[in-house]
Amino acid sequence: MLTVEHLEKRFRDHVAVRDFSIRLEPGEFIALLGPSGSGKTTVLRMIAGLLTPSAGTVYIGERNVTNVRPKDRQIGVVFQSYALFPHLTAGENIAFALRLRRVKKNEIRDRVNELLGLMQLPHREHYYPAQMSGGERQRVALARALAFRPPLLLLDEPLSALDAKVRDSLRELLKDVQRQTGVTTLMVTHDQEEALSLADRVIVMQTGEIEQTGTPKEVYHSPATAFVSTFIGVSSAIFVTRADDGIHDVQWCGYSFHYPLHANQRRELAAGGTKLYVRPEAIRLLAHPVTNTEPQGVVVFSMFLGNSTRVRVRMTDDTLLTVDVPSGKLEYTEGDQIYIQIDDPRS
Amino acid sequence: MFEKWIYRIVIVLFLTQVLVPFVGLVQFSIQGAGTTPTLSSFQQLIVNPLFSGSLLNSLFLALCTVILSIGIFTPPVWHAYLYAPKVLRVIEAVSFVPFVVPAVVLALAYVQFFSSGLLNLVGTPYLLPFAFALLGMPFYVQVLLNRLRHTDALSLHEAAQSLGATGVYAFMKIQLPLLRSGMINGGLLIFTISIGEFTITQLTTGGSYNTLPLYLMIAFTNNPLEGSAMAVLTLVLAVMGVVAALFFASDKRRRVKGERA
Amino acid sequence: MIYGPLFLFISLFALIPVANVIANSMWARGLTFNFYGQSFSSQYLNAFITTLKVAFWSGLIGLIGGAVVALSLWRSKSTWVTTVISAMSGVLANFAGLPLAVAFMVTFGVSGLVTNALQKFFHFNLSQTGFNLSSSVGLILVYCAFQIPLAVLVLLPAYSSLSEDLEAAALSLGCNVLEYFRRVLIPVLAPSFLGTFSLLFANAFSAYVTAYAIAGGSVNLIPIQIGYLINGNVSLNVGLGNALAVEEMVVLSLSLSLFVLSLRMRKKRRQRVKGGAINV
Repeated sequence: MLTVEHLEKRFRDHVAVRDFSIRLEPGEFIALLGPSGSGKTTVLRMIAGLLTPSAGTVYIGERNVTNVRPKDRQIGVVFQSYALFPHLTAGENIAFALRLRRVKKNEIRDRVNELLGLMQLPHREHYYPAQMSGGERQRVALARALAFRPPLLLLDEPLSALDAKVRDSLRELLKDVQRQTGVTTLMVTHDQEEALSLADRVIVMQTGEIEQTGTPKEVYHSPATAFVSTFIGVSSAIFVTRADDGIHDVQWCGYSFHYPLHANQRRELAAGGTKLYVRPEAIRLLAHPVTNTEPQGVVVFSMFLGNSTRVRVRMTDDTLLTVDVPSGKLEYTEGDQIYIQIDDPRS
Repeated sequence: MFEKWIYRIVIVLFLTQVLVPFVGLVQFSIQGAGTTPTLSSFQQLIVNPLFSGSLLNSLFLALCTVILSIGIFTPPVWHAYLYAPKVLRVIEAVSFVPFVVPAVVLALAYVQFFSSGLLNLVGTPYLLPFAFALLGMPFYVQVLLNRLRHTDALSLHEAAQSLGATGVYAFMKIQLPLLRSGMINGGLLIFTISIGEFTITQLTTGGSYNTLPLYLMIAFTNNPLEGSAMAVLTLVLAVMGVVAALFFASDKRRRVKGERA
Repeated sequence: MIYGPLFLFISLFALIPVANVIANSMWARGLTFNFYGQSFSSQYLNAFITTLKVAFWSGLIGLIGGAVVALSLWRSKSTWVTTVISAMSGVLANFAGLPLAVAFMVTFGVSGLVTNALQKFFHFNLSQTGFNLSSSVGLILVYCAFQIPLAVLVLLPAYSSLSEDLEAAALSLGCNVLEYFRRVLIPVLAPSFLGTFSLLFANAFSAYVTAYAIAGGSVNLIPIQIGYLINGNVSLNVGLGNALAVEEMVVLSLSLSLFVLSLRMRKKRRQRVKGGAINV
């Protein structure tokens, strides 16, 4: 559906995006995840035609659109600031692209009503943007971008301007709408939760380059680099070697366990050892060892978070582990001697 | 690219439209009707006691106006901004009086009101600083408000008082230095207005007090060459005033950034 | 009382004298509307119409010129050109007054730059065409020299308050640049244009120095007439002057209310996005 090859953008001597290539299958939802300044918005603007790439090509279907004006690309874009036209009502905003394309009046009306229904906004048709809440504006912006049935939809931080409650409900609506319309979607976000929950595939970017591409689960459980592991959630880095029992994947301090590995890590493991980034919920604390191989440590810090308690453990080799203990289980306090077990997140 | 060229052409046309009269003015002031350029008209001006007298009068008036404006406008605008938004709205509304009451009408009002009794001031220059301050008030108030909006004046004032400063001490030691760039900026605008004011000066003093614009008018009628040389000088003064105000405005912006970083 | 000096100043040098003018315009040993009657007699009615005409046309030309220039500055995205032109416009719009008038008189005079250039390059004799700076057309031309810069100053912030995303959205929805101007930019800025026009109109309606220096008595304008009445060039008739002054203030108040109305419209429309979330 969308193919981007070796895209690059330089601003004077600064390289904002370097050698960026992706392929979106029809109907796919991809999230471009990265901190601010990682070049993700630059990629989106180049695909939309709002920025000219310094190098590389953009195809929509089979058509090379690298030098096509934005108005002829047929891409729907939802902007972070929504960019609703303040002098037009919600209905007029949605109808804007259809009027430009000289669609018949009654067809425009039907389409606008259909979209207002899809966005759960039928009562807001005659409201001006300034009279609507942030969440409502957001939905109008989405409806406006979808109105002319673009084959590709670009979302630039679509939920970041909203407060947490509205964000949650809109996230579900967004996922729903994307499924119902089947529009191929590329979303730019710095919010890992948003990316993991919405996308079929996540692309993690840093300083203009792709760090990792994979399904949300792959990216979460098997971060390819230290950056990905720290940017997405919390994890503890441990250095593991190949398990010598022939059953388990890896071994650490004489303790063998199963853990999903990224291709890079598997290669490094074969060569001797690799860093593993273990999620806090994958580690379990035990008061007594089960097999006598579990590593031992001391609780040095604990903090109640609501549905869990975050515990920091210093192991005998001085490694610090971050562990989430579900609330309602055994409570641990600072100074407790414990043993740890690492669960395979796939099971 | 095509679009960019249209914009450039528009800007060049605008600059031409703006600059032609001034190029014409400068050319005339150094050439007159003759063909050889000379600075004699400027030399004549400098040695002319009427000119230097009017320059001194204008500078003195402008200085008085600036001091008066800073003194009258700064404390109430600051106080109202911090504590009395309703009063601030009144001050802002009142500051726009010169837009509804133009200089001619103000002159007419003064000529009648200040013509008898204790306040028999028509024919003297004593009214002028007050009149100029009134004309400059909208500019000064806006500049000061801009400055206030760029600093968290209320928190700083409260912080100073929580540390044991009296209100007056906090105002003198914390707020005034913060507002300094705004006061300088607004003062420069008032200075420029005062230097160039013609209408009220002419109509209320009846020509008894010689200022720069008044003498410019007389000089131009008697000797266009001398008049245009004066016009050049007056313009240079105005440009210097505005450029200095802009300089302080940009200085302020830089400092605000620094404070936040 | 911290507000004392300010309100004393305002009362003594603005409110009371002006109230005095209003009172005297209808009071001369008893309530009278004679002065207003006189102010609508032929000479002063003509002055009123001429002033309206000059203010309207110089306002309209100033608005269109200023809108185009400010648009070009904004779209060309050159900060230093914008800074230089804003500074120049600031001088011209607010502080030029008398020197500007002198510059025009000299440049369009018998041996002025423009007169000479037209003669030399186009063999066009300006004075033979009947063109005269001290006519209402001439005044409109001179007024534009401060009206266009004033419009530029007022409109530049209006343009730059437009989010860049607005244009990006219009382009992604299928507009070209001209369609973006016509369908989005102009309607969104319409209140600003209206406000600017009312400001320029009021500015020209109350202009005195420029008209006095250039046209003197040869163009019949309300501010000039008031000035004459003060100076006693006409047999002193303060009541008539007051009536004219009140009429002038009414017109200015009306155009200022239009300006305030345009501000309200702008505020109502302005899209409020939660703080800090706007993309930079």
